[in-house]
Amino acid sequence: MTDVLKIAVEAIGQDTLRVILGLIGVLILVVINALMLTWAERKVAGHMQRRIAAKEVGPFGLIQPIADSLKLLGKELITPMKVDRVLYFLAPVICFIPVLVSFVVIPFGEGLQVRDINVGILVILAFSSLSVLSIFIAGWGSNNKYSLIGAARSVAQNIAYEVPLLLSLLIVVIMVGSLSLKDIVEAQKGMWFILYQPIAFLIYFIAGVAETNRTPFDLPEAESELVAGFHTEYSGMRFAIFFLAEYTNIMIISAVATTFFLGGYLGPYLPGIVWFLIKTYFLVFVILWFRWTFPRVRFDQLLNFSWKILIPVSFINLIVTGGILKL
Amino acid sequence: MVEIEELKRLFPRAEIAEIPYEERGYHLSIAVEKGDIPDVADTFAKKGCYLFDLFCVDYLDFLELVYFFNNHSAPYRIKVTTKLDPEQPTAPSISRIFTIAHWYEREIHEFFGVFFEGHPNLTYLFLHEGIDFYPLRKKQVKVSEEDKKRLMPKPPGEEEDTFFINLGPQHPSTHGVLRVILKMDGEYILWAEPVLGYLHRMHEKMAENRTYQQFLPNPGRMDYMGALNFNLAHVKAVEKLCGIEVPERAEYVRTITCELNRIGSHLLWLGAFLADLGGLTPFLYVFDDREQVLDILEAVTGSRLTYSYFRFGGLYNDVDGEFIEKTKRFIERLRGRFDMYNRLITGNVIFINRVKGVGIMDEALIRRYGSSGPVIRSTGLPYDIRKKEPYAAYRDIDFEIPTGVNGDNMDRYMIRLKEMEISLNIIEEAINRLPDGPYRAEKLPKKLKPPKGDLLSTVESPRGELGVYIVSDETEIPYRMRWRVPSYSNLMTFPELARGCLIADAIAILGSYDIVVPEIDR
Amino acid sequence: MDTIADFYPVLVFAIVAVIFTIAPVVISYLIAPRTKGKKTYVTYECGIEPFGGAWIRYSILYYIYALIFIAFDVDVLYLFPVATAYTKKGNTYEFYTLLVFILLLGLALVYAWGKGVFNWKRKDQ
Repeated sequence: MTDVLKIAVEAIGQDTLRVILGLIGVLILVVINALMLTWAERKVAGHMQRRIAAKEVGPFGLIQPIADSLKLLGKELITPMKVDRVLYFLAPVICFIPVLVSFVVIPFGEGLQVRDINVGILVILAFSSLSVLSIFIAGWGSNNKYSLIGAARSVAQNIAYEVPLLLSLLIVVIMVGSLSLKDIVEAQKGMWFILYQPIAFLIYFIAGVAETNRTPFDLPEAESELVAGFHTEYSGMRFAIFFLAEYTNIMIISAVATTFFLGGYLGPYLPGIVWFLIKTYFLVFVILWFRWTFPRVRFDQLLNFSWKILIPVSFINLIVTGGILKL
Repeated sequence: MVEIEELKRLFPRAEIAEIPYEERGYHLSIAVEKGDIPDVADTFAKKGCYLFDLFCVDYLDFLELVYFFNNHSAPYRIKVTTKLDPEQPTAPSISRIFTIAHWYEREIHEFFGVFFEGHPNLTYLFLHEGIDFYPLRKKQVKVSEEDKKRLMPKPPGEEEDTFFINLGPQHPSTHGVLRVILKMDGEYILWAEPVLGYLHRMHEKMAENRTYQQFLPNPGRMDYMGALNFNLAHVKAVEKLCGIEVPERAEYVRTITCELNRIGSHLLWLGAFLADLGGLTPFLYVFDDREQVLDILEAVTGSRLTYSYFRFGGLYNDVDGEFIEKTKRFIERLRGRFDMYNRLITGNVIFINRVKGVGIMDEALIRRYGSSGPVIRSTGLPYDIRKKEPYAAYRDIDFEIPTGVNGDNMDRYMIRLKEMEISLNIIEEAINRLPDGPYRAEKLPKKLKPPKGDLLSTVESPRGELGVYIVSDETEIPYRMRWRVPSYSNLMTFPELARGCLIADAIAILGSYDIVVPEIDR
Repeated sequence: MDTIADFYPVLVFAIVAVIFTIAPVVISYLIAPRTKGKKTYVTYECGIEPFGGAWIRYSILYYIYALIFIAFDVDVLYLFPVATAYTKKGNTYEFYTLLVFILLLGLALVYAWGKGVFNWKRKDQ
């Protein structure tokens, strides 16, 4: 076995092998993550609402998401007559690119990183802007009024929360002096940044929840107002891909928070990847928890919360941090 | 109390008669020429009255338009009637004076073919396009081609760059099958109009085709959330009409079960309202509590939703010790749960920001629409039929009426929560006082043939003032039965409140009414 | 490894993402049933035949938010290289530069706030 591996490494080069293995690993992770999160969402919702949730298919209903995805695979792909066909087909494809690319730079453990790009966090941030584009394309291309409102909301919301998101990450960057995610984790050997920068962490997390369109910021798909928002016209497998991207996005937001504020893969006794996953999924759980506890905010409240509170506080935080670093 | 002399002076041509309120449910009857109707309406509007109901009765020789006026401060029920020619029925519209008349007149137009002069939009309200006859006329009268054209709904203007949105009939937050057309400017609503009739079953016509007993199951189907209250309204009206005495015990059991029903209805509203605001969890919590109510009621009434438990002169069957025991346990349980609801919902900062100062109603608006129930109590009007015109055992039980200050969504929420607590007190008090004795009047005639005449009877349903008006012609079948439902006049304030709002606020306002669509559509 | 070649995993991942999303749709296309009913393909509008199109000039009230955002986002991105070069201790010149930059940026926010961009009023006709 090791011989085969060695030969393979020699043949295609260590770098390429790393990318291929990383790709396979990430794809498996993405699929399992999405399946587990749909299950977890139902379970969390169920227990918070004093019911049992899925339990029939498999132990604790664990096989339920697989059954669901197989069912979705067999559903008719409905393309409404009035849609802009190019945009309508393109939107689910675009929505998945940013979430997968983000995994390139995330350090899952010591050395467990596809590629340590020195501007790592910029790669994630740059690509995450693409997801807004995909939502807008979906909403516009659907030629549906609910979708259009959802799409317009989504754009306004994403741009409003991108600024505090950037600012809160910037504070960590200014402390470390590097954009590489690996360097940032290594810099937390002594102390996690959440203890230095609790406000920045809170701002990042709130903005992150808003970026993933989760309750209480789920306005682009506000069920009671817009039926299903931007994906009203999507069904079957195309809808499933939006769903997959949404759940993967939740994980990425949590993973970045873990990397920047919770010490990433650092931790005693257990291997790094275990620590990383524990921290990430704890944050994921908190995001699920929000959804089943809070009502939805109104649109003007949502935008103004970012512009009137989060951004000014981020600025002050940045100045204070910059000042303290100079002391 | 009612100024007959003054009215006689104002309308010298009118026939004014005092009516024994105890027997007929209203104080005065005024018969006027149809030309005087706007003047009469104007007079009552200036007196601070509201239009309680407006409907039509077909007496074959003539059509009679019936206007009921009432006052929020004191029982002041006045019936104004006018006779119309059955061949060419026309009447002046009063929709400029009482806005709610706009919808009542549309209803009369499609059901009776009465043309209202000066009405802006006499299109279908409940009926489907292509109905050939006026359904509530006693003789078949064909819809003229001219009228058919008038009835066809006008499609919303297709001007360039206007954004129309359909909210419903298949929409997560319209509570059944209400449809609202919204004209939008971005996130803002410029204009809204409810479209009704998706659940129209014509209960009023059904009533004209079956005996009083046979109609017993129907009221529960109008308002499935407050079925017992509707059941009681029907039973109470017929009892009054026939002069049936109801035993004391039955009155108390009616009070207890109606209040349980009210709690169940308010609980469901609470869940649905929060779901409209995007918080889904409370829905499941309230269902947990509501389940207990349903279990208790199921044990005595035999059904869980569309109850038909009351009979003329009493109840279907008596309650037992187990019912009392279970009800007492439920009271304890629910009292402990309010604290949890307050922590889960009332204190939530997002919730407060969403409901405070949204959908503000004032008294002038309420009078123009004749709204009722918790919706108007939020403005500070302590108007509750249980207190103003007590029925069943409410006259023996002391309870307070919660009122609000601002008339916004927050007040409506707080009032419903408080009302549940008060309902619990009423139930407890009624159980303590529950007398022994028969639960049904004895020696009832097999066939009910009430004496000739008409009668109005009102009940406070969970959504507000519910009125039943019956015209009897000494047969066992009602000549005309009119249901005045509370959600109808509550909902119609929506276009006015929603104008200029954000769509999210409009959804919250719609949720705060606690509308039950089958009740509006009847 | 500071060359453009450093980013080839990004390209690989992006391409795989495209394949990964198209593949299930293709599979679904092959095995899923198809209805013949015309109404299936009508745009959803709560069960009513849609009237008026969705592709109209949509009044976006948050347009000004977008304008401020463009000013902000670019400027905040400028801060990233600043952040990497920011040294610890001493050299207070760097701090003052940062301060002036942020204050200028904050001024834009104050201006917008004062102009009433963040006020959403009830719209009465």
